[in-house]
Amino acid sequence: MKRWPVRSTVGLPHSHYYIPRIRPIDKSPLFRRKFQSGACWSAIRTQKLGDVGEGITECMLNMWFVEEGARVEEWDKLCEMQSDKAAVEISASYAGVIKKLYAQADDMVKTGAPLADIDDGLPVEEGSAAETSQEHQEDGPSHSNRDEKGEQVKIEAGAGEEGGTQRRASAEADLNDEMRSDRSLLATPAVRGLLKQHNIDISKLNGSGNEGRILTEDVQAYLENQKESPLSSSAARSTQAVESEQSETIQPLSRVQSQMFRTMTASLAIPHFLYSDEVNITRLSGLRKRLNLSRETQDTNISLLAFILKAVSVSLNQNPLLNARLDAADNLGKPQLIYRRNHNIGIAMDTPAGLFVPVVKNVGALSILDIAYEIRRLSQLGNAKKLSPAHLSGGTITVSNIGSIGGTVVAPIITEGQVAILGVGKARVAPVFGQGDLVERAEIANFSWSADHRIIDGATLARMGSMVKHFIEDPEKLMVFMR
Amino acid sequence: MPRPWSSLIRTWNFKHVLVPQKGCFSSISHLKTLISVNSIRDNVSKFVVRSRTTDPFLNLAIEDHLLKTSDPNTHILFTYVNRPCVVIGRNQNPWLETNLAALKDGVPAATVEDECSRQEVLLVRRRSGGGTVFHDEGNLNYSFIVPNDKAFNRDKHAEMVVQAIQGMSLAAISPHLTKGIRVNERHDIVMPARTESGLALDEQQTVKVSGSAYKLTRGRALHHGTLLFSSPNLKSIGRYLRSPTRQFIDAKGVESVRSPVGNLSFSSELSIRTALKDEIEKSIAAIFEERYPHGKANISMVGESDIEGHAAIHAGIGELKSQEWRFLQTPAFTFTNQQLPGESFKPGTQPTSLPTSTKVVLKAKHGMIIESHISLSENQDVADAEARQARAVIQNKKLHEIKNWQQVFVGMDRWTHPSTGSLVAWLSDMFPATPG
Repeated sequence: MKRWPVRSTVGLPHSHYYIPRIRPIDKSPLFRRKFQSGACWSAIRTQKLGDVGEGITECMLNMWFVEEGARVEEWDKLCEMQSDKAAVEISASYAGVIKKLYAQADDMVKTGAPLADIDDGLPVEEGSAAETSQEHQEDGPSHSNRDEKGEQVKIEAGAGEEGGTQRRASAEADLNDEMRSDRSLLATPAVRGLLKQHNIDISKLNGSGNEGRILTEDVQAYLENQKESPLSSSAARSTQAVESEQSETIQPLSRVQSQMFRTMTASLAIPHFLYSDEVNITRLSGLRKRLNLSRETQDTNISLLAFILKAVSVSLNQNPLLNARLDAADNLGKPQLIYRRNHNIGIAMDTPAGLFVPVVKNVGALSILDIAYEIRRLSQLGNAKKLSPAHLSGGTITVSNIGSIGGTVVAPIITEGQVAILGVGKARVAPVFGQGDLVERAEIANFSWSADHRIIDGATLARMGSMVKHFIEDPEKLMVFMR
Repeated sequence: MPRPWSSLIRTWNFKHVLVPQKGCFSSISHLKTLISVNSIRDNVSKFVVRSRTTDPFLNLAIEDHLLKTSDPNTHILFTYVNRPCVVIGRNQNPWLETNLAALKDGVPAATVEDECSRQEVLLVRRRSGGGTVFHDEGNLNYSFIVPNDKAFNRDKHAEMVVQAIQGMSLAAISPHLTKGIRVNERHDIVMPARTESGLALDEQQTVKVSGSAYKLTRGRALHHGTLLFSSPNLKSIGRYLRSPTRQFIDAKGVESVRSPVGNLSFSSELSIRTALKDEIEKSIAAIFEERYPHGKANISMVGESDIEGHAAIHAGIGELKSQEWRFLQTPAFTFTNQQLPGESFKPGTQPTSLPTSTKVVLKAKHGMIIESHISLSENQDVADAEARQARAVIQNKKLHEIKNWQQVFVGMDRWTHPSTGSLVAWLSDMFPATPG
């Protein structure tokens, strides 16, 4: 094949150059329509050394894995480069035959310098090729092609219209624009294939990669949006005319919120079941009021929560399973229970910074007054945003006094690492039947338990729930059992 | 019909591998399962592998095999300890970076009895980049093999190791030992220099505790590093890594950046050192498990018995042990005792036993001598004759194959200079006979 002077490729963004065969390029429509011949252009693509990262501008070539004349597939190992601490394997961007290697082993190669020429052997149409090369020259300075893999330019031969020079010129201009916008949106060949497969216009997407590069995730997100929009558009059509626009402000999660997000996502794996009961706290309420008026408890009020914590702890002595931890899979893959002796009860606390669950350690060894002091200390720390990880860790069971804000029955979420949780609703005044079927006034609160149904069955939880209820309804019974 | 012990499955790179079925248990299958099965399908994508062997070639071969054949979505932590060896980077120069003669002598023994069983220090060339390091049983090597994606960066795993160290009981009991430990801009782990008794010196002076190197392939990234937790040979490291040819070799390739090194916590008791190593491994594994998704990690050990019959790993060991890999992968370099015209490299001072007219220039490429000029005489013609004779013998010879320089000069009648013996001795010092 005769080699004619190659059109200059200096300053062109693309990495193609063509070896043209002699042919009069006559653009008259008659000529183009009738003139047919076999493929005459052969595309040789130059693979350049891409950015290796870490601000490195040149690397040393360690070794080639291919030689001139070898056939490579896309992604085959081409060579190994070395830059300071990293040995990096470069893969071939194109499939084809290696025509030329630009560097030898031990040579330094700069980022962006050519590495190898690969002849992909694909024939390119004559007409479009001529326009392509013309386009390359025209568009030359307007692009910065830093994509390591180069880009395949898809030329729509839409300029195949007959017509005068003017129309052709405008068609070429349209092609220019299309190619300019086409090329200015970076995307790898794999992503472009995906776009073509789904018939998506590349200019409709926003890239989220380096320098606005379009990634597969962007394509997928766009496809999902497309799926939703037909439904929403029909709904929109049926709604009334004047509606204020929904405005959205984006705010990242605060530290506490993201921690909550993480822990609750982890808790999703636990199968919960809810057990709720009404507890008559009239007598306990009366006892509390009397105690809080007496001298011993001047500096702090003993809250209902302190009694509940002690009641739960004493009940746990009889139901140790609820204080255990489930190890879902140890080294052998078998789940096992880890019983814990100390009752470290976490109390859910609403602080200015959000939800925290500090732990009252070893409730079994504390008196109710001690527990009350501890609750007060922790809530003061919480309000001052001074709770440390040590305060928040080590819990074996949790009690959430959401009733202090409101609510009757709640379905609390078990913390990871525990198997049960108690939520206390708001105390309300209600009539109950007392002795002799007489209606009397009572204060009722709902105790809602959630437990991990993988190891706790309904009967176990019901026993626990009933025991706590008895201790709360009859505080004297608590006195008998507490240590 | 009996259940098959194993079945043929196609892996991500279209290779077919035998995979053991449930109910079949053997240690070799474990390694295969680790690397061949589509791990995400089995819901395990994190692996912690501990090596039982101290053979550096075996460990590096296993590491390379894990990099090449593991499922592209898995995260692997491989930890190993090597017997005393010097490990040079992928394209470094062994004559430049290490004192080959000192390697043969071996590590100084702790007791007199051990003196007899002194083993030589091995020379190993690894596949990743970076500089030259000395490994022994007081040095833990960790290797992270993860997907080469946006989440990967060169500091990530070094920071994980720092976090692991600070989470150990050592940090709780003796916080002054681990205070100030951090990752520096060269991706090394450094800590403030301490005196013998453990008191901290000036905060600005740091010693290197861990160095990193990387190998990046399409889709996978390997980051491995050393960790000097308790090496008894700290003082000898300088001797092995200081080569007498340093001042005479002008080499391409990566040069080692020298930094002072230090132990994390030295103890003369072997049992304490072993316990410390175990704790560090567990701590790093715990942080690794926490940081990467998909639940618990599959923990396994691998040793010599596990890789029996494993063709790929044995091929890897063979390559790493070969002279071709260790010496012929050296990039082009020039050994010269005088500054050459047009070159900026200034060599050091030659021994005083050699006359000033000595001219020794050796140009090597791929570990082979491609050009040489060795002469002693002041007389130009005599010098040329000497050089011609020497060239005839050593031209195109592999440098590591020259075992005896005395033999090289035997029968060279043009070499009548009285200092020939000194020259031979000097060349034997510069390029000592390599083992194997």
